[in-house]
Amino acid sequence: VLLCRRALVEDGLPEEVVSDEGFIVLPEGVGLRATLLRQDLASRIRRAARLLAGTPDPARILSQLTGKTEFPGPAVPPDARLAQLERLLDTVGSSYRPACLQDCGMAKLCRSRAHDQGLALVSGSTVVRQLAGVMTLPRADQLARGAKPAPAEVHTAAALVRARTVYDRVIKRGAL
Amino acid sequence: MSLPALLATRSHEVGRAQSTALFRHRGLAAEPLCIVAWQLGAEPYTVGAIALGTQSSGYDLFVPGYPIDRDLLFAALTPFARKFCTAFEAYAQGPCELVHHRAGDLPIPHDLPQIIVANTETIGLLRRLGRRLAYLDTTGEQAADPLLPRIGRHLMWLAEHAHLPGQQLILPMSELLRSHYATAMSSYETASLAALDAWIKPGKGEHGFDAAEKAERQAVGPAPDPADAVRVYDKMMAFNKARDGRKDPALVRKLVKPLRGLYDNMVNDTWALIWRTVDREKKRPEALHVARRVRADRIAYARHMQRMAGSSEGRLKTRLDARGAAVRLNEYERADALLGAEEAVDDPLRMVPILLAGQAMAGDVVRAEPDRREVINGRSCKRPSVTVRTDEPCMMLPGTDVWWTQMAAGREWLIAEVTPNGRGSEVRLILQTNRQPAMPRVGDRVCFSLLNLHEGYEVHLPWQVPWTHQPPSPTTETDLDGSEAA
Repeated sequence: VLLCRRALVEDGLPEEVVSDEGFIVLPEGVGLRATLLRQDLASRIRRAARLLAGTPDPARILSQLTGKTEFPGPAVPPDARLAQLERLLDTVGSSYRPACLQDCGMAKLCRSRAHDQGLALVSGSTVVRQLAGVMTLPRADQLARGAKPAPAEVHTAAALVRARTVYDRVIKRGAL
Repeated sequence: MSLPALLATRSHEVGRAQSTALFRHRGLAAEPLCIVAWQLGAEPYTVGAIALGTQSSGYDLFVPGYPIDRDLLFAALTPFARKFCTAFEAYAQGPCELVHHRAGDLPIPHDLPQIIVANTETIGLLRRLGRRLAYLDTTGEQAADPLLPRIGRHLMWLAEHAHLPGQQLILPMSELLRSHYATAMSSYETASLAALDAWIKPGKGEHGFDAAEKAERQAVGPAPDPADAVRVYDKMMAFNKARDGRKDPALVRKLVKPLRGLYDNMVNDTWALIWRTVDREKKRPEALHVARRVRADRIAYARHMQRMAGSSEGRLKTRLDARGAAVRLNEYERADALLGAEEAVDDPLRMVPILLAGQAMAGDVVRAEPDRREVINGRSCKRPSVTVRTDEPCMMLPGTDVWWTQMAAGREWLIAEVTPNGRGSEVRLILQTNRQPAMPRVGDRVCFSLLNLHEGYEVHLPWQVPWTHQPPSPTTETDLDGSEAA
């Protein structure tokens, strides 16, 4: 709604041309009866505006990049396209999350890179939460095996060592 | 609780899924009915193809050709319904045992009538298909074959029963694998049966991630792979054009062959995958309390068959009323709590998260006083006591009631004293009864936890909604203007 309003304001129309009120039309129940819900979006639009105001300026970020940072076009051969994407991701990085798999065509490439880096994010939010202060799975494995933890890793390391001790005992003895 | 993190870490390092159970926690029938179904695009209440069989070696495939046409769909589903109903209902006609159930005798089958599917989405499709078929009119001009409402009611009931925690009448294999293994995949990715299977058994020298990356391209239904969906659409439209509105069974059988071949390829892969996982999981020893849950399923099946034979003919309420919903929720919550307790009591690996959460303790019995007595209400009563030395510190406080996993259905033990002992603790426990068939002995390895196998609180609500929960009756409007005028 906010972006639509801004686009129309840019074209010289008044702000009021896009209402703060939204309608959701959806089927209800087994009979799929068409139902209309009225929603007041004012507070959500204000929040979106606040969030957008806080985003970094793309021009400033782009000015800091060196080399060619463009998506490859469809005319580029598949292998070269992949190599160019890899170079692009090497330059700007990626922020993979499992939810990306639902709606991003590049999610599997980012997932593969995250897996190569051993990022705990690959395993989902539960594991990330349990590995507070530890970014990668290989580091978590070292901590579970008794490596000396950094100050931020102390609590996670203690929990991992305890979990490893009990789990290994059960696997070895078949009993607690 | 950091067990999931540890197992994700380890499976990432080792490149294979890690086991989260020493036993199999669901029953697997000797000859389960396996169903693979493919949905047609954005038609949620129909199937593009459906396969049924009881052996890994083969299946029967039913392809309507153009399922949007009701006559073609029902013509393909009728033989499917015949085969399914015959196989599913055969258990009720086979050897049975009589149990007393709700003021009557109920014949429950000896064997578990089990349906195996790839995932929960397939159950959803079967539920929708059942909903479409369950209330078809079997009389009049558009009369449907009586087998169709019959299978519809079976499918609706099975899909409803699938919500009950611990049931195995209809078993999605992806859920079974998910409960037996942990991987470095996110929960979203573990919904893929093929990816999970690849993590469990990747190729030689291959990392589970790489194997899963390749395997997850395989669709197992009900939604086909996008490329397959395009091929299905093309062949379906070609079939529809060739038949030119004709519905003659012989012609349809002939024209549907290319589409059937395509679906056959799609079913083949899923079929092999499902049976591979079934065979692998069958090799695990069955957990002790699976037998109780299988019996509960057999009773549920017998009750369903009794309803099918009764005056309601298996019709189910579309919507629950407030009372029904509360009772159903209570049933699920009790089943879930009992399932969690049974799995943990049966399987030490399932007890690990409970132990790490500080809700259990395990150790060696260092002292046992089976004849210990204490004064209760002025009488000297026998209250046996044991002292357990644990490897990990006991997080539970004195005064907490715990249950010995060997007697989790018995009486509770009271934690009387917890004293630190090296890295662990020394815990003194007092049994809260003088009658217990077995007692821990000195030197035994024991586990006590907050979990017990007692039936949870069963809610009994009145049939009439009490006045406190009734909506207010509409107030009669008073026409003040009118009364003033008078």
